Amino acid sequence: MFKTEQKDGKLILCFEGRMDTAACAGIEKEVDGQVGKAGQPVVFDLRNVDFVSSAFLRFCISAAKKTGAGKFQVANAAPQIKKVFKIAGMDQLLSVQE
Amino acid sequence: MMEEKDVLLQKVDEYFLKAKAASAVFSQLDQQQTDAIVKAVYEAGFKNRIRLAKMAAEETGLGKWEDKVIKNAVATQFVYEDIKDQKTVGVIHEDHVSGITEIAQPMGPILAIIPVTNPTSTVMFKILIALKTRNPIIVSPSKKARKCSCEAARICYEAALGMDAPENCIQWVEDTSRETTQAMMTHKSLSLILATGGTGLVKSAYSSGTPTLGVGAGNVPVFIDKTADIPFAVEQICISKLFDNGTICASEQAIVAEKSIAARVEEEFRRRKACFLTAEQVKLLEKVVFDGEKKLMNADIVGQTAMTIAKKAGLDVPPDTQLLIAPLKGVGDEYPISSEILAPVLAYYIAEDFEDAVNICIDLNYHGGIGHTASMFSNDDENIKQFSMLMNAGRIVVNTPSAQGAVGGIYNMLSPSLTLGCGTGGKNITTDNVTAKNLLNIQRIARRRENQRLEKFDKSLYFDESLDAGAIEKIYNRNF
Repeated sequence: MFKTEQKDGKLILCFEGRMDTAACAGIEKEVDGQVGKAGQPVVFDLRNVDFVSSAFLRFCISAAKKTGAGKFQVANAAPQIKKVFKIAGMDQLLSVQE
Repeated sequence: MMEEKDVLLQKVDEYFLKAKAASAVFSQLDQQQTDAIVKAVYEAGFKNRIRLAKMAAEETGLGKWEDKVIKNAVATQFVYEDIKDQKTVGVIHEDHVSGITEIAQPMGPILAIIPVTNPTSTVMFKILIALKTRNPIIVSPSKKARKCSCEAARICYEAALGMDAPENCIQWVEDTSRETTQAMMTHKSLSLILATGGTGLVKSAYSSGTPTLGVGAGNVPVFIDKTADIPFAVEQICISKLFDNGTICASEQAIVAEKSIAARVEEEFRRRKACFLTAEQVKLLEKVVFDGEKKLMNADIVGQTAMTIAKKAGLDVPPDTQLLIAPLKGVGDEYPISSEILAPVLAYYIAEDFEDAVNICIDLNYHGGIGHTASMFSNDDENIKQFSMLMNAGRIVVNTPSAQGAVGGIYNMLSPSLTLGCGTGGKNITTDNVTAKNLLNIQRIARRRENQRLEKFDKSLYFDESLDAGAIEKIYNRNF
C-alpha cells in the first residue's frame, strides 16, 4: 500500500490507490513508526492516490506534528486530491511537485 | 490559564476542523456512495422513531409522543422518499440546445439549529438533506431538548459510519449554550445555517454574516367559505390543531367563517369537543396564553392540552374539552389571541361575506405571520385563487389540515420539510419547503452559443439617438 525511499535527505512515503478507512487501518502502525523514527523531513507522495479518507487526513496531521514545523509535505497530489486538502484547510501541507 | 471564552472558541474551532475534513472527504463521494449513506441513515432514524418520540415528549414535556412518532416518520420516510432519486452529485442537468450544464457542488459545513418543538424529527430531517448533498452537519439542539436531539444525531451518525461516510460528517453539541451557538454561527468555516426556531434566534443567525436558510413566525388563518364541506373542514382543522397539541407553526391559529355557515361550523366544532368561550373567559385565557410585555405567546403553554391551559386560566369548561375557541371582534395587539399560540387554542371570527372574510384573513396574515402559511376550505376554485393571491404566504393549503399540509408529502405534493421558508415577508430568502436542493451550490458550464440576432444586428444603431426602444426592437427581431 506504500513504499518508502530516501531522496535529498528526506523520507518519501509513496502511497498507492484508495486510501480509504480500511486501507489506512491496515498501514497505520507502519506509517506511524516510519514517520516517528524518521528524524528528517517527511514527504507523502500521492501521485498514485485517487481517494483519501478521514483516516488518511489524520495521518497527515499526525505526521506534520511529529516532524515539526515546515518539515512535512504532501507532494504530487492529483487535482481532485489537491482540492480535498484545500477544502479541509490543510493546503499549507501541499508542496510543489517533488 | 485560558479564559472561559478562549476555551469555548477553541472548542468551536475543533468542531469546524473536523467538519472541514469531513467536507473534504465527502467531496470525493459519488452519487451511489452518497445515496447508500442516506438510505442507511433513513432506515436507522425510522427504526428509532418511537423511542426518539418518547424521549422527546418526556424531556421537553411538550406535545404527544404518538404524534411525535408521526413527525419522525415524516422526517425520515417521507423525506427519504422525496429526495432519494434526486441527482445531487456532479452533473445534474445537461441542455445541449442552450449549451448549459449544471453541476451540483456541496456547500460545506452546515449548522443545524433545532427547535424544542420538533427536537428529533428536525434533527433527522436536516441530517438527511445535508448528507444527500454531501455537506457535513453540526447539530445545535435546544437546551430543553438536548438529550433527545443528540441521541437522534448519534443514531444517524452511527448508521452513516456503517456505510463508510466521512468521519465527523455529523457532529452534535452536547453542552449547548447561547455563547457556543453564537460563536458557531459566526465561525469563518461555516457555510450555511439551517435556522429553525424562534424569531430572535433566526434573526441572530441572519445577523451572523453566514448565509442562512431560516423560517418565520406563523399566524395561520383558515378561511371556511360557504362552498366548503363543513363537517369535513372542521374535522380536518381539529386533526391539525390537536396534532402534537398544536406545536407545529403551520397549524391553524384563527378560523374565519362566513356568516351564512357560522352556526353549522360552531355546531361541528362543539360536536368535536371544542369549547366556545365567553368574552369573560377570553379575557382570563389571554392572560395565561400571552405575554403582554414580550408580545408573544407564553412559552409555558406551548404544546399543552386544552384542559391544562383551561385549568391554568381558571376556566370552567367541560372536562373533556379538546380545543378552546375564542370568538374575537378584531385582530391586533388588543386581541392577544389573534396572535400565534402553539397550543389547542383558536381565535374565531364570523365574517359578513367573502370579501369581509378575506379582509380578516389579511389582517391575521399580517399580524405576525407574513410569508408563512394560509389555509382555505372551499370548493370554488375562483375563490381559492382570489384568496391565495391576497395572502402573503409561502404555501396556501386547500381542504387540508394545515399543520400536516404545509409540512408536505402527506396531503399534497409539497416537499416534505421541517423548515418552511417564509420568503422576504418572513425575512427569509425563499418560500420553499426547504429540502436537499436548497443545500447545493449549482455551477453552470456555459458553452458558447452565439446570439444570432445580435450578430445580424447593426450595432451602430445603438448610437442613433433618434431610435427608441420600439424601433430598435423591431430591427433586432427582424426575421430574415
